[in-house]
Amino acid sequence: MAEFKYCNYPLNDFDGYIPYIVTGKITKDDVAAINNDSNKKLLILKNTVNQDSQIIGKISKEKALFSVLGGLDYLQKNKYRHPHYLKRTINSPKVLSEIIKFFEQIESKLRPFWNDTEKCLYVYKTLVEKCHYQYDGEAENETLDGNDYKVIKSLSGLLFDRLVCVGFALAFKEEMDRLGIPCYYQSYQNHHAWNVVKLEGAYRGIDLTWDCYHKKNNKCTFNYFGRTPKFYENKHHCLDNEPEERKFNLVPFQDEELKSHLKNIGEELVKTFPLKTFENIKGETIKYYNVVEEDYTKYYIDLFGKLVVVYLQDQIMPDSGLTIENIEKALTNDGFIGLKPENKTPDYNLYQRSDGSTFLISKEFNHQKNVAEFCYLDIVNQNNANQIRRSFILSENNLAEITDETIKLYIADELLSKKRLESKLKDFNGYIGYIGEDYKKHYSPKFEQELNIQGHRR
Amino acid sequence: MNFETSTLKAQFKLPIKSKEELEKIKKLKVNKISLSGEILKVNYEELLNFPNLETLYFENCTLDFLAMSILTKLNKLKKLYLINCEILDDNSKLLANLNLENLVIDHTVLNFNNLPILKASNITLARIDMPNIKIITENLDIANVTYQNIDFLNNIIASTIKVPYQMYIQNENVFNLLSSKIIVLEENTNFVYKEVN
Repeated sequence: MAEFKYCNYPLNDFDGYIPYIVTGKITKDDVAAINNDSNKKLLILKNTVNQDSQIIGKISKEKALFSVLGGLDYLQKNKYRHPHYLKRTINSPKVLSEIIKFFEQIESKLRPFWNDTEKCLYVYKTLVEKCHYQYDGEAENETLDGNDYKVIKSLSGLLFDRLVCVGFALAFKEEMDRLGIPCYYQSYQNHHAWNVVKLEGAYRGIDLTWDCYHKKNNKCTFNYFGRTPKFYENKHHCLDNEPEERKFNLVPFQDEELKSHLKNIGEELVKTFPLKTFENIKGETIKYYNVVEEDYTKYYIDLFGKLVVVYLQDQIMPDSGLTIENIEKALTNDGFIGLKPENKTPDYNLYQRSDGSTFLISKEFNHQKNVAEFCYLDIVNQNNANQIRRSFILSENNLAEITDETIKLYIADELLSKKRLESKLKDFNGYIGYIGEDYKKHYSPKFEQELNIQGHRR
Repeated sequence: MNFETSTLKAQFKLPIKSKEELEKIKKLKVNKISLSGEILKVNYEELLNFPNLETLYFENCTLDFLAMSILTKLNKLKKLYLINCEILDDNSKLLANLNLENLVIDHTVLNFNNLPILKASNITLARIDMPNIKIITENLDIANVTYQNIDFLNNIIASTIKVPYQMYIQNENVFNLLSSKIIVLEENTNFVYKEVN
């Protein structure tokens, strides 16, 4: 249960809502107590870390409003004690619930093995590409849950994809707080706001506003992510007259460093690839997705709804080599059509469920402690067409190396049943747990916590 | 109801069932791509269920003849935002027939050759090639367009034009002679550098 401590701060007259500082996760029991209390409360949260959108949404706005301090911590900084700053922190429970859902959606796409820089880049990219800087003439305020919100300068702007610098910087800090990445909101009052984030042991300047305003083809440029400190010397980032702002010694990222991280974040948790089709020499329609490698071309084939992978030497033309008969033969030859080379081993382990559906598991990508990340491939139907879905899953079992067909069937039907997989991809960032020696499913809460896995925080 | 809209979600009324509730809606966002990257189904005909729409956002949508002709039936529509959309070629003319207060065209594929005129009280064009067509407006924001030359200025009738720094500096004499008020933004920022005329 959360702890509610009366806040002896001159907010007493906030429309009769009595201020309380809340620490810890608000539970269903807390909600019942709040809704049954005769007093109206202003619940002050440092941030939304650990709060559950569904639970928060059940609080009656007649009984409580939230003030999320985030970047505008008026308890710490005098400059935010003006009522207009306070108002930007206020959200009704339902509005706050929607805001938290927005962050949860971003978090559900993070790969647990991404490092903090990569998580930070992904959040930056998502906010830049999802939101737009307020257009001329576009409303600053919106009515939400019966109240007026200055959306462009608060977290509520996320519900409209419409922000200005203040809103971008508040949203970014909130998400960094939720991910446990040290982040600071920097404000040149009545002029501009941006962030400083601590990554890889150094402080980095972040200006989402600049990137959003200058995005090309609606794609994030990353030009304002960890830029040279010189950029922050311009008059818009001047903090000379802001005694309450901490001055940071900013360190830029080198281009090569960023490129390497950006390559990784291009590989999201889940991605789908459309299948191509061609007619082979026998008149059979083959649906495939291919990847050309040095000696072989790898073909992912939709074989009557089952996903299989076969390898074809480049000199063999697909229209003659890629026949149903050859593909079926290859499945008994580790996927190779024709002679299996001595020095080549298949990249994937093929699993089949009792219902006949198949999926492929690649060799492990990353390994931390007892858990490894694997690439999972299957066929899904999207927009009335079969597509290849590539997901990243995490397990303590070495799914790529298991050869025992009984164990493989058990894993396919239990650990990676279709229903369970969907749930683990959606709510647990792909962490599926493992099958223990007792042939039961297990998961590690400690691991979920360490890697900031979405499900753990709910 | 197939619309997945943050605006609607923010009103906490989904799924909306009654006609009366739909008629109260004045602002709507239609986005074909959810935050989690799913492509959503959108049936544009359902827009006719919102007869009192004043503000409409399209994001990540392909607007065909049906969609655009439905817009002409929304008599109260005042503000239209086209963000990351594609207007199929033959439908651009319909856009010119809308009687709008605000029109924002941001990173949207639009065949301007088929568009005789753009008219609205406030027009923002961003992340597109500046079209050389007639534009009649009070306030025109072209601070974020790409352009080859400034011939398009001959076709603009506007009280105020917001332009990027480089466009102004390279053509200062031309801009200074215009009857419109010119708001010049700083280089690479959205802060005002100066105002002229």
